[in-house]
Amino acid sequence: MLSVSSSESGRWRILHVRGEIDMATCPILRQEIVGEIGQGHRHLVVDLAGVDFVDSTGLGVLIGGLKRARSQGGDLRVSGVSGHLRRIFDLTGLHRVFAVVELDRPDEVVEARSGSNQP
Amino acid sequence: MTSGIRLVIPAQPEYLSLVRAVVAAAAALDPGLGDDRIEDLRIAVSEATTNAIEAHANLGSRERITIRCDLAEDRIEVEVEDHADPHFDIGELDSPGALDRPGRLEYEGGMGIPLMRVLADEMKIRSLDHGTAVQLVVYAAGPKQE
Repeated sequence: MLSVSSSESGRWRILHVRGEIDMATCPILRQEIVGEIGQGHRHLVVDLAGVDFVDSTGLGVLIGGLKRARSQGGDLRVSGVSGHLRRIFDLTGLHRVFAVVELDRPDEVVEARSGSNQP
Repeated sequence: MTSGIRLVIPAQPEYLSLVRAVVAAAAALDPGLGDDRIEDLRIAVSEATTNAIEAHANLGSRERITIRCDLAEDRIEVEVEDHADPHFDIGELDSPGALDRPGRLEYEGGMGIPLMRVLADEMKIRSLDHGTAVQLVVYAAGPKQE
């Protein structure tokens, strides 16, 4: 199951995602992101703190959302990327593509590193 | 001495979470596998099963997908077997650096197989008469040195 709720922080619309993001549930997230951008919320933070699992399908939805937001002059950032999720971002190179931020400072790119996993 | 389980599922995305739960529970029976390795395996198996479901959907196949899980003392092996026509061009897949390829992130798909390659210690893809089998091996002690 996947659920998405939203909140605001300045110009940023924050999507709080809970559950597992895979082929079965990613249409929900895609629809939320597309819907928000369609309503003019071009600056999005996808908060992944409540996400137990994400696979390449879910990562593809985030990449698609990023491209869509940027094409509208906005941006899509992520937060709550820790533990195994951080490892997946590192392995796929997405840590270089997405700005990883803290929710109370979405305008700032937080250089979150995976600590001891770094070479 | 090995022991194993077999899971046969409809080729539908709704069953992915069940596959992950079963494989993770089976892997947890091996006291040598830490949580991080189990998580690696969980993602890799989910990717392989996702590919199988997609292959079935592309062909409109109503056959089922079989996931075999074999536990040995030093490793866990999982094989995901589909009944779609062979759908992988195996020659095209032999690119371990695929995740780092320049321009790679222009594309939203195609990360599944490279991810499987880095998460599992071994990954083999076999073409069968009726489909494709993807074998994933995770060793308790980490990747075997060649």
